Amino acid sequence: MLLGGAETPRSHLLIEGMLLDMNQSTSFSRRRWMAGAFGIACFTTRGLYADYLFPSPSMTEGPFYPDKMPLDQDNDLILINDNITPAVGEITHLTGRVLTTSGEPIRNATVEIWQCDANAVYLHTADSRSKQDQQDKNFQGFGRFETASTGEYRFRTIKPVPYPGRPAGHIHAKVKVGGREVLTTQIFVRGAEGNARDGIYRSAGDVIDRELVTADFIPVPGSKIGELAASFDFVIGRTPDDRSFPSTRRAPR
Amino acid sequence: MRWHFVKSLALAAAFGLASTSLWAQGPGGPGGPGGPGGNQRGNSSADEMIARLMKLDANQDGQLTKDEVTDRRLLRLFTAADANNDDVVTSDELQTYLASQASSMRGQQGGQRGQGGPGGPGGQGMGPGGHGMGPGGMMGPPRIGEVMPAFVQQMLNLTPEQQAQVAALQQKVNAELAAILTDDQEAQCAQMMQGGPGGQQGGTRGQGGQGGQQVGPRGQGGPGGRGQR
Repeated sequence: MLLGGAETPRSHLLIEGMLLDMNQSTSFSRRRWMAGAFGIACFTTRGLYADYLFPSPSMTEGPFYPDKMPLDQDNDLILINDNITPAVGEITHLTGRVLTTSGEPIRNATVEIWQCDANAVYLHTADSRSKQDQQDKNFQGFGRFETASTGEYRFRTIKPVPYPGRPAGHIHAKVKVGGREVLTTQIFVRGAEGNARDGIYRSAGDVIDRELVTADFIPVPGSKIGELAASFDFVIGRTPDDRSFPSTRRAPR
Repeated sequence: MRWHFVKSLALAAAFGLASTSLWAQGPGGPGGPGGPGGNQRGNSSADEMIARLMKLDANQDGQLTKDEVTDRRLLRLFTAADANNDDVVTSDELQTYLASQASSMRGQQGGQRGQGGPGGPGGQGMGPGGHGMGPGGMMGPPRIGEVMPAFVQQMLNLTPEQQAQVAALQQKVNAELAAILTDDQEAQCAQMMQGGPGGQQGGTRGQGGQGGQQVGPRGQGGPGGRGQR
């Protein structure tokens, strides 16, 4: 899963980049000055710290981030612990990377996903309490994964389905870095007919933003059980509180 | 000298007539500051989006080549906009592409003021038509039959349970409304919500209605939505 940045010639080093690298504790205002001075250069030169990825749009958390964590919080939402009965739904392998806007992988990022089951019931008790007969008890409903040095993550879950009031099936996602939430968003299915009718999808922003929250769910070649694969990168933009942001030092390749 | 006087009088009269006819036209009232600007806003939204994409234009030549699209997540958008398949996307191709997208999906940028929406029915004297408020970034005319838009739910701080109940209510409303309306009427609703003729531009009002008694107050323009993230 190579990005354009992976092939960036290192000869395009910016002075700003070198200064930042030398001085991890640069004060915010000084960085602002440097960013201003070299701001234009940042976009036109593919330097070490140039921003060339659009940050993932933020989307509403919704009301159903689990209130009670399931006993099993791993990255396989289709099988709960040692249960042998899988969840109902179209099995989907959701993979991607957690990256900075300069394309650097973010290690030790925690990715969490949650979604309603194939019968449109969320794990959250406010939703499931009145739908006990409808709920798929074999669906874990929530999963968590921590990235390693490549920033890669993976989940096995089901293709999301519509929920009353939400014609567009979607997977909720949260990314935390260093214990701090840096992104809450949703992942939508390319080509789902409900997307055009979903108010939240439509208000994701402009056409670019909607692209950035939409994933292609593609059949896995050779799968006998109709598995799908979806790729989705979480691109984390810089926040003012950069001191607590992980090091942007390039990971060894 | 006298002729000049007559001419300026005629001009003044014409001007006077023009302005009164403008008022007579819209008892529904324009939708508020968001309204008359509605159409132009639509265009500048496209401009803003194009400007945003053009940040990828490394050599600043006003168009995007495939290798300038370093964010590979946007390659699909690039290919879709590249009408003549020459691996170059110009500003014009983007404009055309956006126009086709806008008609199939009403969502615009979060920072936009809402469109004025169709002028209120004549004679009512109310001009709320403008769905001008958009802190949540919901733009465009309000969805017909929408119980409570998402941004209002957020403003009211609905509990999760309440939100679920509203969602269930919406489901019911959708079903029952579909049962009430004929297919034709449903199609018209869909067209209006997608900014069909008269629904989109701030300038065209639905017929002013016969002899509106009062000029409706301008609907709230509302705060501009949150800026683009």
